[in-house]
Parts: sequence; C-alpha cells; structure tokens
Amino acid sequence: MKNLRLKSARAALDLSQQDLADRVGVSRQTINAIEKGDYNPTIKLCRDICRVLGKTLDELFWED
Amino acid sequence: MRKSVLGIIIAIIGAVLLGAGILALSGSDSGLEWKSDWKQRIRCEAGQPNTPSSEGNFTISKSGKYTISIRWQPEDIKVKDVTAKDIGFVTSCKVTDEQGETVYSTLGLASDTYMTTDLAAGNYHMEFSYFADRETYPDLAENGTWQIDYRLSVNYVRPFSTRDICAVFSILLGTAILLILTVSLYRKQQVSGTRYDERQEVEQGRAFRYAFYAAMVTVGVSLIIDSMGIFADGMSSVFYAASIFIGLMVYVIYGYWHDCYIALNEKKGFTITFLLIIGVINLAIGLSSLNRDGWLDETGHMNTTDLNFLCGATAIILVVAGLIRFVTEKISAKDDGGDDE
Repeated sequence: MKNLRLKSARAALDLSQQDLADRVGVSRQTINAIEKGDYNPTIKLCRDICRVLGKTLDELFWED
Repeated sequence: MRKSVLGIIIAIIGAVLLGAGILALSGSDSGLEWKSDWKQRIRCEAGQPNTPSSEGNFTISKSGKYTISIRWQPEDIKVKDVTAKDIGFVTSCKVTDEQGETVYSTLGLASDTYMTTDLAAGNYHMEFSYFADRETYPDLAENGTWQIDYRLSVNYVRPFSTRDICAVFSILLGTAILLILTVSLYRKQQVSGTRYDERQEVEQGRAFRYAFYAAMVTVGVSLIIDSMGIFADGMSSVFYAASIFIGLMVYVIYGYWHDCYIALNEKKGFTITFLLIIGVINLAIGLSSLNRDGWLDETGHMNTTDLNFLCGATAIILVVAGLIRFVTEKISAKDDGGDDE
C-alpha cells in the first residue's frame, strides 16, 4: 500500500526524495520504495524519517 | 608517500606475484608434443567387423613423463541412426623405440582414454588396434563400411620441481597481499561512511538466495542432460562451470534492479567501463580459442580458455543490464521531486 502521507509530508517541506534520503542516511531508492509501499522500514528508520519531517510515527506510519 | 599511491604499489606487487606464479605453473615446456589425426574404415562382412589398426611415428625431444591419448573425432559416431559412444576397445597399444624394443604396451583399454608413461628422448613408433563391440551395438555387425576419425596425441607432463614450489609460494603471497589490501580498503570504506542501508542489505540477502537457486537449477539441469548422454564426454564440466557464472549474473542483475549493488550506485561509469574491458578481452581470448581448439582439450577435458569465454559473456551481459538500469534509473531520478516511477 502506498504511503501517501509520507509523500505529502516530504512535499510540504519541499524536500526531494534524495534530500530526505541524505538526511536519514539511506539511498533515494529506499525512500521511493517506502513511499510506493514496496518496503517496510525498521522502527529506527521510521523514527529518523519522522524526526526529519517533524511528524509522529502515528501521523506517518499508522494505518487507520 | 600518499596512502593511495602506497596502496596502488602494493596492489601491483601482489598482482605481479600472483601473475608470475600462475605463468610459471602453466609452464612453457609442458603440453602437446605430437598428434596425429587418422581416418579409419571399419568394414563388416558376413556380420563380422574387421579389426582395424593404425600406426604412426613420433619424436620425443626430452626425456620425461608423457600422456598418450586416443580420442574419437568426433566423440560420437552415428551408424544407421544409432549413436555409438564406445564402439570398441583398444585391444593392443604398443610403443617401440628406434631399436624396435617395446617401451610401453597395454591391452584392453577403452577407446577414448589416455595413459601416462615415461619416455626417453628419441624416435618412437606406435601401433594400436581395436575391435567393434558387436553385442553392445549390433547395428555395427551388419554388413557395410563406416568411417571413423580419431586422434592420437602425446603430451609432455612436466615434473614437480623447485620452480613449482616457488610458483605456489608466489601465488599464495600475491593472493594474501591482495586479500589484505581488499579487506583494509573495505574496512576503510565502512569507516568513511559508504555502506548499505537496511533495505539494500535485505535485498542483498534475496539476491544471494536467487543466485544460489539459479546455480543449483543450472547444475540440476546439467546433471539431467548429462545423464541422458546429450553432452559429449567432458562437456558437462563446461556447463557446471557455467552455473557459477549464471549465479553471479543473477546476483548482480538483481542487485542492479534493486539498487543494492554498490559498484553501480557509487561509480556507474567506472563499473560499466571496467566490465566492458574485462568482457571484450575475455570474449576475444575465449572465442579465438574456441574457434581454434573447441571446448575440450586433447585429453577430453575442459580447456581453461572456456572460462575466458564464460567470463567474457557474463561481463557483456552485465554491461547491457547495467546500461539498461542506468537509463531507467536516470529517468526515475528525473521524475523525483514528488512523483517517482
């Protein structure tokens, strides 16, 4: 399932996938895979992404 | 002296030691001493095949151990839609010296075989005869005439010497230097921050798994085809070697497509150029050797240059796959900024 909340949060800060990837220390393709729902990140990576985007885990990764 | 220069010098020393050792072991004074191709006709009258025989002269320039090889050309002959693999046996093989004294003789050997013996320098005469196995291949017992091509060859076997010990030591030392250098470079790379992220590590695990499956399936298929007798004797070893290259190909191509092959991520141009050079050189060596000698050597074993062909073909396929991934990745990255792929 696509993670559109992550995508919109990233876009809201005007960050490209590469920018976000650089800040959390992964490859651009990994961010792409998370947004497309092809990869389930570890809790550590989720936390790092939330920290960069200024969101909580629930806001970005909790499915309703 | 800068560390990178020192590293390059150490790498060159390691490569020279390794290369010199391999060259010394391959040795220029061993190899084919004499060969002869004959055409032999088997005539069968009243259900009784004749007993063909052949003879030839050869000169040995230096004393030592030699292998005498007899091999059908081609390995299998077809007689009335029946493929005969071992149509007969050598009933006698005799090597005599200039004085007519027998220096080597044997009985009852399989038709496609080789034997090792000591020969002194001088001129020799060889003769051998064989009979067709009527019970195994009854079609041969029918009246008619068939032609068989075969090859007899004598190869020098270089004895183990102090040069070999030095060569082995050189190979071991060269390998150790290159290994230590590789490990230290890898560690340095890890410290400097170049690493795989968590997704890439997961994908690498999958790539290894698929590569293993691919290699196993290739070996399995080779085993089945081998047991069916489709390959010529010795050809199966080429297919088993190919399984390693197929496994490698699966690993790298999967890595390309899932962005977990670090060489392509970090240095695309260098990786593709390097693979292209390796591929072209190996393919050129492999193809020219295949064209000249075929897949198998005089004793029916795999030629070492077959590996050049397999290595070259693998590298070229990886270059093509890398270029395709390079283009698709570029398009994907261009779309980045919001909408990807």
